[in-house]
Amino acid sequence: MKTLDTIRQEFSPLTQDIIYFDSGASTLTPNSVVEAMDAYYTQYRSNIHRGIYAWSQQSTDKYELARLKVAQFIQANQVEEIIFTRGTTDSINMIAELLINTFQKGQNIIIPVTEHHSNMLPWRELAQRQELEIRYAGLRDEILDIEELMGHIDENTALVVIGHVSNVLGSIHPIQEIAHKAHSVGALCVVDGAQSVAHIPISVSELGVDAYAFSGHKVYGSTGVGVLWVKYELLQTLTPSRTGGDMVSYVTLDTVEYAPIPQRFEAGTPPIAEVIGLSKAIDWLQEIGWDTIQEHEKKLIDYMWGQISLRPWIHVLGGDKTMSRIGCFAFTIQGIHTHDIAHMLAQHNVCVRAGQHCASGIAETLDIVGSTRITFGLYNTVEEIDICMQALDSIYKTFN
Amino acid sequence: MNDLYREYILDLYRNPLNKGVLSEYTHKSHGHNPSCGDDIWVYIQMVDDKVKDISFEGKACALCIAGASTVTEKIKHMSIDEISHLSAEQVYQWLGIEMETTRIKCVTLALRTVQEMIG
Repeated sequence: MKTLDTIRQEFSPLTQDIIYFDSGASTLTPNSVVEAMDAYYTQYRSNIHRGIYAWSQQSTDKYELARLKVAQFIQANQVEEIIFTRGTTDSINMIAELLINTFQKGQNIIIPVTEHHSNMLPWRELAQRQELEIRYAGLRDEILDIEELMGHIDENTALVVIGHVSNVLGSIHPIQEIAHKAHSVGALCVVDGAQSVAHIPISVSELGVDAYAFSGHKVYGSTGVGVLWVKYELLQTLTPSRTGGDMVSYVTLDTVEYAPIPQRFEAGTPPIAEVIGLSKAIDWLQEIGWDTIQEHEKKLIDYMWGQISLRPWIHVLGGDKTMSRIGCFAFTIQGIHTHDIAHMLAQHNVCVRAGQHCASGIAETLDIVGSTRITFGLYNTVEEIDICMQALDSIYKTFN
Repeated sequence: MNDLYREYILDLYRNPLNKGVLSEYTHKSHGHNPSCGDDIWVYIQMVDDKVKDISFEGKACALCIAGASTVTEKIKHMSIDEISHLSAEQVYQWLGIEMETTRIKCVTLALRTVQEMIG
């Protein structure tokens, strides 16, 4: 059993004098994940599915074992529902490509204004091509107005897209209810899980959605790998949008027979080392266990609220302490630009994010330039929050 | 540590020079930093290919506002040719801070906006 006391030692970058509060952008990678990827390159470097030699078999076995681990990790009904991609953005673009011909002119797509651009722009592009209406669900009290979203869903709704967790507000959305409502009118529900998978246990079958996307690099894996889960019944109706090597069973100059699901949706050589790394990252998370993960995160969140309540000049976006959230705090300070705050925190060796966080709909709706965002990983501590808060005190004093 | 936020910069941020809209201007241009969100408008009254007067307005970070204050102040009465030869290093020198890369787009937004406008 792994304990949080020793977790920091598993991240080489943390030996430096740095407080890393930007895990919402990308989590750090434990050494065991780096070693697993390194082993692929130094011990059995080869392509998958094609070689008849031992190295290739080993690569293929590790790659397919990763698929099984991911399926179990998000409680998919079938391992074939897992498609490896290059990241969440790639996953969502792919499902948009796959679904495009299933929609007809006059139908509508529901998109919350809180969405990351990766779960907004592919759908806007699709809507333009298929002449679909876009209905934005807005904010109430600085968080997504679920009532408005539900009210937009009608008999012409083809699709509801939503982030499981807002990458700015940290709010956890009621996906099960939204998917149920979408299905009641025959619409599909596609979920961006980029911000959720490292923080809350996911069961795609319980959520009842049709597709779910996430990235390896936000769940302690490496960059360059992502997952697109699609319900098997839906996958069976879809024609591959990307063709080429490794996704066919039989090809002549006149005919083509695609490989079985899911291989038919993975054209070309995939990011093999990164998939193996993701597999190891899932092992690593599961060794810690969800109870420990969530207990630690709650401790950080509660402590953060305590510190913020001592500083009335910090305004947390969607600052409802009772809201179901992950360790993500986007805030503004009157009179200090978000980039100045982030830059000055960097001068105190505190790494945070500043700007609109690729979710410009929130800044536009709230009429703000952006916000400064602190996001936690499992390696963060309350002592680091103290140092960050003291740095913010100093910044506030400098400007006032 | 390069003290970008020294008192001179913060003073220009709190009390910017040439802030507002000129009552008469011949040129107007918009400058924007997508990564930072800095958003400014620059107004110039040109007479005989020289800047007779200049101002700016907008929402931006301290480094951008300080940069815009200094640039608008220094290029008053300069010719188009002189302005076209100004560099990012010059703006840093005027502000008395060391050249760095992380915030160069903020510090030089006003200069780039002017150069694109009259170039």
